[in-house]
Amino acid sequence: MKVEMAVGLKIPDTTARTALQTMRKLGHKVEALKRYDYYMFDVDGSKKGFKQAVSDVDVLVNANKNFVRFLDEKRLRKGETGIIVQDDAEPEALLHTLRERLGLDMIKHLEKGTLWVMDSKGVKIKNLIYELLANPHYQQVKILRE
Amino acid sequence: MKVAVIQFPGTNCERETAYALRKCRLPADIIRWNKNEGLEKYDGYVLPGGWSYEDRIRAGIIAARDPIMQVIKEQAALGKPVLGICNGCQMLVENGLVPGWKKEVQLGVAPNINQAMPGFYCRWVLVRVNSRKTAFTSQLRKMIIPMPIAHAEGRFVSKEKGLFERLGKQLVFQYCNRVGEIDETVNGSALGAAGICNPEGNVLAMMPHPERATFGFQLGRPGLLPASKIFVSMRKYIEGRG
Repeated sequence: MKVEMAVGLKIPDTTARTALQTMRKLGHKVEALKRYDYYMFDVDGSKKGFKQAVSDVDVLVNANKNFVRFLDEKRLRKGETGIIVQDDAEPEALLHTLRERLGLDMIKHLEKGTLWVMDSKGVKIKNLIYELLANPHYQQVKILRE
Repeated sequence: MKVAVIQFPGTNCERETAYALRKCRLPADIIRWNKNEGLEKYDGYVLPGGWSYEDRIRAGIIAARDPIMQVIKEQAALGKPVLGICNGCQMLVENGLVPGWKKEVQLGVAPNINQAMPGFYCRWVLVRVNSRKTAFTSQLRKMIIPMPIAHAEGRFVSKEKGLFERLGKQLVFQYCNRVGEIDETVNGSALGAAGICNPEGNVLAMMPHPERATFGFQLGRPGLLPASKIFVSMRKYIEGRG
């Protein structure tokens, strides 16, 4: 069973701000941009129980500055496009920490990346991705629509 | 004769790089990224190490899209030497200046893969010099030289099959052991690639830090270290251009 989790910032996100400014300088008319840490877990057992447990893991979610959204519950709003960028390296150290140290041994597989969510009206998404958000030589991209 | 050491927000090796250049009799000015008027008057350019734009999005990409890089690209096309060290290397790769066969980006500098040390990796390594026919290696006498690396994203990769094999002498530096055998385990870089130049040899992107391997005191020895010859070569190349 797959669980996709996005962890965003409650505090101002300077990385998203810099990315947005750079996109505009490059001529892409992006109105708003949000950035999330993206995790895809392949798990055994109860989805609801796992979601609660993983939301409380402070290695992934600092309750003072982060919030969590699960992509099966609330995907994207109208007009938004999501772009998941993942490196070719597997997050083995994080998986080990979650399974062995924090007791989340129901996780069979873990993928990590960055989820960018933007107001995509009039934006040439593929140009934008390969100009700025991803290097195709070692990063994979998935595009999510509403 | 003077070179510009470009300082982006987050660059942190500009002073020692300029110092090493000056000690190799190559006068250097530190130029901020947003002061690119008159940049054309310099005879060469160095993009030093650091964390430009805090590595936001990924290492070197924001700086690679900065307007100053367009000026540097134009000057490189005129034959002026451009040296990118560590974060500067990542900028040149993301800009497509190396290997420079096509107008598109043909390489990536990906997160390290090293079982013993995941993440940021800082240590002295040995690199093999494969070509003296570049603006940065003509004066190197030794074929194996020590230099430190300090990076989390230094693994040269490409999805183009056989690209690294086709690089030939453009693969200027490779990580190696004491007898010169290629070492791919340092950061997982394809063919142990540590430095790649363009076909003309005037643009070099290298992950090791020659400015930290210039003076003997940096290794507890007297005199200058072999890597200082990278800056001496740059000076000789500029002198040769007249």
